[in-house]
Amino acid sequence: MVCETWMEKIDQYVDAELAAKEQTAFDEHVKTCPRCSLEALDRFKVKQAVQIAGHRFAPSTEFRDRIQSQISGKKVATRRNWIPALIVVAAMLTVFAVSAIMMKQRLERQRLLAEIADIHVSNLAASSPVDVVSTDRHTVKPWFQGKIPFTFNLPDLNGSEFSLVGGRVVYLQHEPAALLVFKYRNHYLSVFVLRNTPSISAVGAVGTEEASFTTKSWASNGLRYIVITDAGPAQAKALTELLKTAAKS
Amino acid sequence: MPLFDSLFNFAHWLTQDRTEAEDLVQETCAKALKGFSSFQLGTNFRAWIFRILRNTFYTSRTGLKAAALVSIEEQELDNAVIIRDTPESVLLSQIDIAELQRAIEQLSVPLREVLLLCDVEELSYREAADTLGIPVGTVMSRLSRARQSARQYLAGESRTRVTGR
Repeated sequence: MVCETWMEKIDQYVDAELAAKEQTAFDEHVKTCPRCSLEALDRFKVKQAVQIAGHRFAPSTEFRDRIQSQISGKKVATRRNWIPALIVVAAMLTVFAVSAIMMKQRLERQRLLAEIADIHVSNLAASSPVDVVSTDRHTVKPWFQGKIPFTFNLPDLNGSEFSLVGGRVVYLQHEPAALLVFKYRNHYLSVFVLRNTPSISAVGAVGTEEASFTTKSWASNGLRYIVITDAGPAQAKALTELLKTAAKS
Repeated sequence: MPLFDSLFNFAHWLTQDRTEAEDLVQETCAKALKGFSSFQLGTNFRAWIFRILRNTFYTSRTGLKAAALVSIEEQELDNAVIIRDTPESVLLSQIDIAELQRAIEQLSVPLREVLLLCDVEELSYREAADTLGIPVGTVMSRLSRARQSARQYLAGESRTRVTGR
């Protein structure tokens, strides 16, 4: 399929409205097409900004109280029908609460994933993506001593297709994090290691594929590990397994 | 009442006035309570209550005015050629939320409501179509135009900032 045809579907792609098969095909396309990739990222950014900008107006406390008292007032006025009315109000409140909780979790997760993707992209675009440049894990790991309030193990990459590029300290949700950069052929994989605070755990444990990036996240020994890459799900999984094994050792 | 905040936010965006938004939400709540029996379990509650709010808005004085404009704008929109934008990545790299809010305010009501439902309330195309009483294809085209307009507005503002004009 040519770019023009994909471009016609780019809004549906950004809105996750394409059929699963087409969504996957689009994912594959953006990995190799800088034009569509940039356009998709651009649109994700605007969509996210609209989401933030759109939450602009809040009802006043007085208005909220007035509506609540009116609902209560109606219950008195229709005393004979108070049970169905109460059920209706309870049902509405339940639906409101469940919807709000789900929406809040989804929003928090999306914002966190967007922040992770932003750091990954901007870091790789920097003239030097790492502050400690070494393929040796015994050089990179000690470099973080005194810079972050925790420690972690790095995997032995001998015999794997990955190589260590280095690391640096970054901040995610105001939490200091070790950012480790690995390389697989011409692709880079960023690994964030940080304390698993409630705001960080919002990212969830499952793997995702958003904005053409593959993201994997899991918690171990009170730390949260997040892998993000454009290399593909298989490579993200392989590195994840190596990191999990290292964490247990 | 968490969805209460979403309803108020949407009402304020539609009416562009706090008092009118309060009246609209109040009427919506009253209608929802009265007509709760018409809500079919298993269907989307958010879409249902947003549809009540929107229908109520279009019967208000402000809504009737907006509807009068809509019929003319709709014709123009349907005849309009969708201009695919050039990459504005650099200009959009730092989106100013206040400017984006102004961009949303500039949109006509049909474009503004579809943008808010899909991007802010995160309704699917199908749910937005059910809320607005329009086909899914129209949701898609309006959403595309809304985003296009917002992007162009932001790009224009950014250029003005850069050139100082």
